[in-house]
Amino acid sequence: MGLGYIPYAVKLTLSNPRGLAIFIASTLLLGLTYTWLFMNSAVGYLLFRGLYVVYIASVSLILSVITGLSLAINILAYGGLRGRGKLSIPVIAISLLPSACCTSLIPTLIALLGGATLAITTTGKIQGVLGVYDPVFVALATSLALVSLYLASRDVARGCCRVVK
Amino acid sequence: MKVSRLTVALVLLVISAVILYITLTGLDRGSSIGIGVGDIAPNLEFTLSNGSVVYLSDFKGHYVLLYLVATWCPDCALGTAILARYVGLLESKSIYVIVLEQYDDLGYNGPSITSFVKYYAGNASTYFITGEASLEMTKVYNPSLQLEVYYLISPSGKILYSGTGLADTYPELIQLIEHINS
Repeated sequence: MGLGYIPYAVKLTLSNPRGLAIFIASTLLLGLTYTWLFMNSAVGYLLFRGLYVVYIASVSLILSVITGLSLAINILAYGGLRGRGKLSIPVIAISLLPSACCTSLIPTLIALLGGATLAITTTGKIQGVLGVYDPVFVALATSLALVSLYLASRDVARGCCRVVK
Repeated sequence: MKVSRLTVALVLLVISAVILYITLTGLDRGSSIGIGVGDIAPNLEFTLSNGSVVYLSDFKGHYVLLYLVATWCPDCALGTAILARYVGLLESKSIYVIVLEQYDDLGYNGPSITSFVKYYAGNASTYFITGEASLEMTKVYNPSLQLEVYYLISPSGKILYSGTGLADTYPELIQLIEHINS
């Protein structure tokens, strides 16, 4: 059945009113959170300049829909984030990394540990990578989200868990 | 039982989102950024892109908009592009715009400050004075280690306005500049 698991599980989940409600709620919540955080950090501006808003909108939409579907399938099938649903946590964590490029939290923590000079010469080594390579983190999060969706769909299609009727 | 699980999951998601927002963005905007409004700007040295070492006092007698950035920071790039939009206003008020790369670019090797400003400010970049801040200057003007801070300094050397997150806070700065008598 291969990738055919996904449309099957998605159709099964979204045809259930509760599954549809979970999908809409989680997608909206994730989408708004991504958009808010990414806009605050101007994620993508280095690469796309004026088009960074389009980039943020696209990335937020893609990530939130895939993760929302994965969450809905898992919650409906397992009654929570057990089994494959656990993958949603690293997906959300990795996808939020680009927005951490511009927070003062990291230099503040370094300053607390080793003083201002160390923080000044170290903070960029962490945040610079997050800022410059944000598309890599976004691609990684998207890939992981797809894997999570595929695995959850496969489990549901194989009838491993409490499949929705 | 099913409904309560769903509620718990959604509540957890909302709480996570709020915590993340406060953690990632809230700390940036509200914290103290260094020298207060009304204080005299410390006269520290920095290196211009042509290699000459100058002091802030060399610009005394002119309004100065001092903008300290990291050249790998998306927010700083957007802030620079926004300043470029207002170059006509800044020029009409005879305000020197000094864009400085913070010491060692805060530890990550981004593009040079000249190419950074040229790329993000476009044609307006010729109006900007670019250079690199010393360690002392970075520490004094940006003790809370923001990726970008800016100061509007009066001809007498007094801080008129300071802020961080230029892309978000520029309307107030521009409003202040509009009321300056050139």
